[in-house]
Amino acid sequence: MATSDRKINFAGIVLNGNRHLCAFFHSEDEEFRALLPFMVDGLTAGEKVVYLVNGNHIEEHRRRLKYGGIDVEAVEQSGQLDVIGWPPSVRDSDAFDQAKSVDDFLSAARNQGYRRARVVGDMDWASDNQIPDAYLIALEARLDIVYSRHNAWVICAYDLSRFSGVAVLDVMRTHPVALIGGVIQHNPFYIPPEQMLEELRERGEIDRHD
Amino acid sequence: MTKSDRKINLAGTVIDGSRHFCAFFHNKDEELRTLLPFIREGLDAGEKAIHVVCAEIGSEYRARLRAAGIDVAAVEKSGQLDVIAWPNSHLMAGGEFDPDHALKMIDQVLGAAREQGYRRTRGIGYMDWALQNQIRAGALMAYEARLNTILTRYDDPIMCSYDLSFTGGAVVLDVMRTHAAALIGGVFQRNPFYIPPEQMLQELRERGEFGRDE
Repeated sequence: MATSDRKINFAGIVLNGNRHLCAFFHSEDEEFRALLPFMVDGLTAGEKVVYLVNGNHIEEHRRRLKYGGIDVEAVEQSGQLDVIGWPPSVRDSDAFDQAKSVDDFLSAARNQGYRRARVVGDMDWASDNQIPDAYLIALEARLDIVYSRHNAWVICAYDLSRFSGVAVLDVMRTHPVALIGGVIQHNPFYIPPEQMLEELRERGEIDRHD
Repeated sequence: MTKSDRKINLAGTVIDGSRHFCAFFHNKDEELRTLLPFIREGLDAGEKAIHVVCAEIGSEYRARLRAAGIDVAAVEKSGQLDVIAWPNSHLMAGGEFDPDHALKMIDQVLGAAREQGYRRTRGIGYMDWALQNQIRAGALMAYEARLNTILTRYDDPIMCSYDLSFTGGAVVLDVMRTHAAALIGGVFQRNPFYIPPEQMLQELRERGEFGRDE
């Protein structure tokens, strides 16, 4: 399958190369204003769009997409848009399983014929579920590995009022590109996922096998 | 006075360009372990050292420097090292941290060091003084932003060291945006997220975190 050669625009710049972005926001409005065009562009280009949100607020997020001009019923019915409650189930409780779920749905999208997928993670699901910082970072590192195997553009959106300093800093370190204050930059503080996982183990924050 | 042309090493990198840095640490051991070579290099080179610490831990801090082999009494007596405890009463106006006063004090101590004949000063701000005293985040960030303007008049490297266990996510990100380079996970890098002080102050005003008249 040929990869799509369409350009990806986000926050006013064209993305290339690195595909796993973190984005930090001070409010939900600021967040939605930045993420909506990214999703609309993907839908318009015929790409798969996956929106990961807190499972208790799926309807609210769908309403906001509709309000933003997306024909949610139509694109959900066609299979182009999935709004998925996260974490996917109680069973998928560890970082390894969650990363596998993402790997699975990206493979499924490819099998459905989508040349590219856009994934937006509204990371409120993590703060709402009191996911420990170390676990969250282990998940981001594992996902960094998964995303490198797919033709997917990914934005992990963090509301700054909900996350600790440790979490924000290590989130920066697990994403090669970051959006801060509306500006996207390649992130020199990024470290490879294996190194991050090793550091978490050395700090004693995750188990050897995590 | 001629400026020192000696190189400055930090975490394996030679520092050049803008001199207002931030560093993030997970605990006090990691912090001092990383900063000690930077401190020693300056003292050995005959440079001035100014360390701003949380008022409550001044003597504990001196003990830690001593334990690391620094003759604290001697360098304090000679005037080479100043350990300054913050916040002191001069920094507070109406019970609130006053960035104007703090900036004036930094300007004064850097100017005084130069007049004393030191060709370079290495400053370390252990930002616990702000975080543990619940200084308002907007005022602290205004101070950090405006410090960039003051420091353009000096050639002195100034390191603001943040202990992550006391720092929230929003503060971490704004700290990144007010320092030209950052030390994270033991790696020192130029920081592309830095924005000029005027832009930061404007954003703080727009967010309502720092008043128009401040």
